[in-house]
Amino acid sequence: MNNLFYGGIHPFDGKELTRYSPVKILPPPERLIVPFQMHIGAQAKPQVSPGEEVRLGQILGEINGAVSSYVHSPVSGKVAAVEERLHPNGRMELSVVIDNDGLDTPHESVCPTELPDPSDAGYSAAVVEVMRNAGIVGMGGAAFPGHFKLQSGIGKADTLIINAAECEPYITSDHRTLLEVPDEVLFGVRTLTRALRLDSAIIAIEENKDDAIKVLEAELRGASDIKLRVLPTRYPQGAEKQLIQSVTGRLVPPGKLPADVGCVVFNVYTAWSVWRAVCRGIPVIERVVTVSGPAVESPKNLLARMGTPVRNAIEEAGGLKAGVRKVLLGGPMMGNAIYNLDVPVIKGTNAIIALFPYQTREKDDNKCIHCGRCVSVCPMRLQPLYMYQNERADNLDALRRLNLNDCMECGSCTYICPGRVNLVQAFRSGKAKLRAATQ
Amino acid sequence: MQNKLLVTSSPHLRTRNDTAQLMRDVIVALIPALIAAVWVFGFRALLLTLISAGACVFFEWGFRKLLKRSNDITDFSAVVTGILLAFCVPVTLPVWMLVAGDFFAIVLVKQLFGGIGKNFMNPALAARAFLFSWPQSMNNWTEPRWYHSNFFTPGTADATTIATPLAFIGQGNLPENASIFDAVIGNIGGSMGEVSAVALLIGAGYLLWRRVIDWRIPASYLGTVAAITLLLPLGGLTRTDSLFWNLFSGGLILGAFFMAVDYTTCPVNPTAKIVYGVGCGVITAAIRAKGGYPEGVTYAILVMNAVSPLIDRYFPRKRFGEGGKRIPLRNITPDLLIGLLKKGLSAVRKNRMVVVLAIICAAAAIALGAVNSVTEKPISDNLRDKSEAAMREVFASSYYDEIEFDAARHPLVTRFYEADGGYVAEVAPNGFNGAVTLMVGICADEGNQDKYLTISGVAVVSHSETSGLGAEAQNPDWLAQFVGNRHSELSKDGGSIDALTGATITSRAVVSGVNAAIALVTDAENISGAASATEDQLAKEDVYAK
Repeated sequence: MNNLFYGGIHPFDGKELTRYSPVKILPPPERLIVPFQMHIGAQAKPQVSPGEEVRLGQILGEINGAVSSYVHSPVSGKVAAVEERLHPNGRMELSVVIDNDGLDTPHESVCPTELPDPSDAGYSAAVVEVMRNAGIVGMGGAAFPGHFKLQSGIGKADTLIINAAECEPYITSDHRTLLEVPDEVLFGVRTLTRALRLDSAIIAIEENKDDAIKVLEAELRGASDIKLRVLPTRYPQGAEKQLIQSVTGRLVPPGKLPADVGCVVFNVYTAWSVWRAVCRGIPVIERVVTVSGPAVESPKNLLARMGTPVRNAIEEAGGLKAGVRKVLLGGPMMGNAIYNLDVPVIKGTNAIIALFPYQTREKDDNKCIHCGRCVSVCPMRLQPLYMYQNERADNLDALRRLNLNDCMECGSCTYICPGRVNLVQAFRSGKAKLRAATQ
Repeated sequence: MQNKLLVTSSPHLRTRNDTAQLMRDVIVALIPALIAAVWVFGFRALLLTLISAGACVFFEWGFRKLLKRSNDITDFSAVVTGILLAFCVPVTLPVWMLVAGDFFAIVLVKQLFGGIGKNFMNPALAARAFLFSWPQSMNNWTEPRWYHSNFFTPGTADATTIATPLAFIGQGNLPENASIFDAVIGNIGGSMGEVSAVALLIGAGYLLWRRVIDWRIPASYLGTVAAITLLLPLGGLTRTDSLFWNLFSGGLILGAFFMAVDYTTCPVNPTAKIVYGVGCGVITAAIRAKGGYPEGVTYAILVMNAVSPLIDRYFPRKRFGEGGKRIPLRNITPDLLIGLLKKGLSAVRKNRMVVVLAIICAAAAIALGAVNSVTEKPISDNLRDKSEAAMREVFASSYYDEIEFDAARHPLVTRFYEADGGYVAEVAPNGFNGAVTLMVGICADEGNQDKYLTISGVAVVSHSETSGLGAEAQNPDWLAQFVGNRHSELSKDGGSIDALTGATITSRAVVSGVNAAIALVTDAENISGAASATEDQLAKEDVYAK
């Protein structure tokens, strides 16, 4: 039973800051910036032009190929511009700038879907279609298009895992969702289970969310179609391959997908988005964002529309404290650092975290002392210190031998490194070198 | 404020435990052993440890300053090196020698290779190996608590030298001067930091608890030494004695928990760590059993340091999600075996250089072994003939019976024979360049009071002194000065023997060897109930006679 994933770390989780704060609605701002790239895969094709009136839920960007997603309007109002704007990833990306009319007039496509009976052959396809039309992506942060994952799991998967691990420090958005709307989440889980033609699903949750565990146990009393699996708290438990290993003991082979070992993993918030798309007909236009960290005045969980500038969310949480070092979108382990607070909240933005220098502990004069801690914490069983050496030496053959591309950049090695070596940064650059060499 | 936001690659959190914290933990873990060292060897042990740590920090700071490199003495790694080097030398070591060792460790071994994390050998152990250029100083073991009541004495002039327990174990004997309990608490001779097993284990427990070190290397190292010494006890030792003394005396515990686990010079992969530990264990046990030197930890770890990168490369961890399938027995078919063989061959072909190197090394080792086994007997025959000729030369007798003596009381004497009307002692004092083996004949005919307990002849059996200077000690004319003496002393020390020109150290060595032979014979005569003169009394009589 105790086949936990390899390696891992126990960073201070800081979840106490927001775990008791109910999700508060952040009023949509006057002007929103909605990028066409809010997911992994091809950028959505623009469907609106400046000056056009749009309504809440109206399609702004058309899905572009199999691995892509729709982009919907988070408010009703007028398109001010379609232009390149600063994206959370640090680059300029094509975005729609919308002037909010404050009315939230829904588009006619926003209406509940009547799904066929689960025994019907068309049920799976109907769920895939709903996810596709609602622009549902992996809401845990990776933002992989949900309909594609579901489609590739049908007939192949024997296990559906709902990821409630939320192993990144400070983030409590999934935790609060489970506490506040457990029945809606469970509806989404059941929908996904049936779409995959399975009898049951497993909700995997870390033991530090004891109140959510109690709520789920109460909800699931007597139910046999959803099992709860409580896991010891350890980062990066919520990484897909690691969660599969912890829950089933199966290892996803290099270069393969979870479906190849019979598993499909969806995030809690993805399951809730499925409920919302099916029962309310509302596509992904807003999400719960944890605004937290010691450098935020009053940390909160906010329900923010897509395209809301990060600045608005931070101001709602009381603003930043003096001496703040970094503002991050996503968790402190895998999130992006930003320098401009005008970038928008997008589908994968589960948190906005502000940190002080005493936590980030960068050091210019960093030195590997060959202690091997990075090796012992690596959940992918890599040898980070040797990967780093060879990346610095541009030794691409050695990088291939050391399986650099297996690295998922979870940051455990960099966290634990006593010499403060920027390992993950080097691995990103090493992967780029490998890509350049194969082209 | 917005302009000050920092953008870097993830992750954005880092643990509090940095290099300095790890090194501080190691220093804390060494404190019990330091307390034990001060209890066993007195105030001087503390003094030497502090000097050594200070010298290491100074050399590290100075070298990096000189080369205009970033200075990082605050990571405490130089302090750890300094303490560890002090811990593996005897308390009698002159301060300048210890500081020279610190210089070797920090500048030559660590900084010239690029500083922390770059050296390929453990600096403290490499410096210890370097200090063996002065073998007599590095093998000068004092008895435990030699300082008696004079705790704060900075010098070691009063110290009595003794043999370490391992010197006995290596010969297949039980230590005569220590019990098992002494070895556990540290009441034995040895290097400053290695004597107290219990203090070292407390420190090791702390390091394991703080997760500063991994259990794999110490466990496989100690386990291998334990297994070998249990299965192959030396000489007349029982298996349990062999196991116990090998584990608890000498530098094994210090080496396994503080030296072999040195981050920079040990492998990082789990399987590689076990291979490395086993390698250290095998070499240690082999040197202890077969080497000319009772201790093997230093060289075992240094040799494994050198091959550690190779071990790390050839024993990596299994890739995530690959292999690891166990093949059921019934599925083993000839085809499968041929496939495995082909796989193995292709692996050999890929790593041809390593295989060729291994074959060359093995061939060289076998050739050396063969030459050794062929020449071993002629060499030992030759030596015996030479010794017998020297015995006849210094004291003519019809018989020479080898008799036992108290080796701890007479450390310079290596063999002792009773002859017709006298004795012959083989002594090996340290000359300018290692031991000078002498044969000393002594009259003990009680009927002849003039010649009773005087030198009848001295001959040199073997030496490695400088040709033309110290080697002149072989000159029979010079050696003839000793004949008829009871106590000898160089003329410059107030005696009657003229020193060899330009070879005072060699001359003093010969004098001390001859005096040691007389002292032993005096003891031997006392025990058999004859004249009751001690060495001191004899010396006084000699002076009064003049």
